[in-house]
Amino acid sequence: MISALGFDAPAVLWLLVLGLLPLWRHGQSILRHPAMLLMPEDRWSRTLAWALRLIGMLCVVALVLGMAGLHLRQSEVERVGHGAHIMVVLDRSASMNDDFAGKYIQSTDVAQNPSKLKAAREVLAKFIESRQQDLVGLITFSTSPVFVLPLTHDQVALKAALDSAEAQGMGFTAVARGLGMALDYFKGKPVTGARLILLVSDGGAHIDSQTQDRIRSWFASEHAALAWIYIRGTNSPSIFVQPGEGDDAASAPEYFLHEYFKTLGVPYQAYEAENPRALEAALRDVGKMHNLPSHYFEKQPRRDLAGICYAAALLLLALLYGAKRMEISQWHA
Amino acid sequence: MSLLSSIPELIHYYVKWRANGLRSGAHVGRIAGSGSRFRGHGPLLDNPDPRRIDVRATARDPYRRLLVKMYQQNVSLPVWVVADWSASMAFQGEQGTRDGQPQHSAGNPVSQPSARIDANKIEVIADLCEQLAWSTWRMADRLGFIACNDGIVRELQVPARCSRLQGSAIRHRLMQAPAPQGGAHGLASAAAEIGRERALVFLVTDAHYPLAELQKVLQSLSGHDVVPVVLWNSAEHSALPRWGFARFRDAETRQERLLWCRPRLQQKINAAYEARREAIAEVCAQWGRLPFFISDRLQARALTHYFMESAR
Repeated sequence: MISALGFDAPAVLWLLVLGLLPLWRHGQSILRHPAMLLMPEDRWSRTLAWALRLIGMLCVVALVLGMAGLHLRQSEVERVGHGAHIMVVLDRSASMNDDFAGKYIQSTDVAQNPSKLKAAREVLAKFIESRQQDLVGLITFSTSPVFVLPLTHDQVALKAALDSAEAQGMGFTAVARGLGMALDYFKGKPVTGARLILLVSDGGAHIDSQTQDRIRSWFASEHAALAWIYIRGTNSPSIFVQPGEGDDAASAPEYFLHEYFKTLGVPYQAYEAENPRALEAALRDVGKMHNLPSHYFEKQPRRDLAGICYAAALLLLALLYGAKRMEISQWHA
Repeated sequence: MSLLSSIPELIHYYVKWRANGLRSGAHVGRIAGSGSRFRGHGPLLDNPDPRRIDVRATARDPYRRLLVKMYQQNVSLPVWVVADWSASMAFQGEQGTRDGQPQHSAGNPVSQPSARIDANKIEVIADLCEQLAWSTWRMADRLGFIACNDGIVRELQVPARCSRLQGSAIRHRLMQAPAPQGGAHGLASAAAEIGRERALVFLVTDAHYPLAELQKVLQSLSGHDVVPVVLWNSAEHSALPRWGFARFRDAETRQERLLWCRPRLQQKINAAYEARREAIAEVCAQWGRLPFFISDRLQARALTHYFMESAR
């Protein structure tokens, strides 16, 4: 625990020698008495003398520590959680701003007919809140992926990260690069919990075979599971239904992406969410599956202790001042 | 100030033993002479004083000699004041100072015994000497003064002399001397200065040293009639500050201690002094006389009373 303490100016610590001063300098005025021989042994007086000495020493020490700038160093605290490491890969392409397919199409009210992105964000926020044990990170992607937040417990930071995804999306759906970044984050870190990449998107994209092979090998080496929550738009095709003849990976990318994910060789689940409620159900399902103990380190910021030192010194000085005021420097007959 | 008006109250001292001096005085001596205490009968031829012929004794004498009454010679007695001049005697209760140095009135030759209210111990010694000087002069006895700290303080030593001015001479020296300092080991060597003639010795001390040392002093003076006069200042025990912290330093051993003055401690100190008083009395009683305690100021009447009590 000592190693956790740090000093801004360690050279000042030499002044700690001054702390020995009260041992032979008392600073009290002296009354001459003819016969200490006859003065009775008094336990309270002896205790008091030592207490004053000790207070003086502590006071010097506290002042010196304050001057040396005592602080608790930034530290990492190991924590054990019972959750998964969930890296949310959220699609922010322009199409996410459209509304859902299914029954919600009839409603014209904006509040009851939210955009897919807004619905996904709200549901994800609720999901994160219910999964206090999990470490959750966030990557958003459209044309290129953006690393928003590493894996963390910090609910406030996660909420803020989700809120930051509010801005209008744009461009394409670069699924491969989003997944790549998520896998890259896991790379080189010890496996201390179940890893899950939660892909939330409303459309697929064609991934060329070279990239497919690379992603497959990364998935294998990082032991990450994959869950795809496919937010199905109004006119989007289902990922579970094989498209008709003549359709290829370019015209119906979702189905082929699903087929590709199945070949990854890691646990994979796909959900097709056609409305916010279905989305919620899908997330609940994901949550149930990944519930393993996980180790991780949390960073504690540096804490300045100089103020506490000075406060202690002030208190001790007040005590010494009181003792000085109680001191008798003259005989009163 | 005329001499007569400065005559202090006399101390009527009294000894039970026979003084072996030769000079005529007021005490019963060992030699035959013109005293008042009957010594015995002797033949007229040896004691040729026809006024003292005892007719009845002569008539009873089977050898038909002329017998005369013989008397003990009244002789004078040397009286010594042996004063403890150790640092603890410098204590002045009400004038404790910051640097711990007592404000002894050195360099002030004018004695003002009655003007000062806070009596210090030196003042009490001077008073005692002055009153004894008058008393001894009246009894035709000699008064001498010896002060001892670690050795004998030569500049304060006054040889025994029968003079009514002896007291003011001693006071003069006391007031001019530097403040008492050092220990009290020298008291044991005072006996050598007194001489072999048995004397009445007033041992003035505060007895703030181990009792074994007091024992040694009394033993060294055992050839004399020692009146232990124990001099305490009430400020040192019963007039301590009531509340607060005070750091005391012993005048002799330099030992320091912080004391938390409070009524409970005051009780303890009073008890300690009371126990000390009894212990000193016990030691002194082994050597013949009970101690005479002086607190703050000397009262001649009390000392006279002491002698009357011990005469019984």
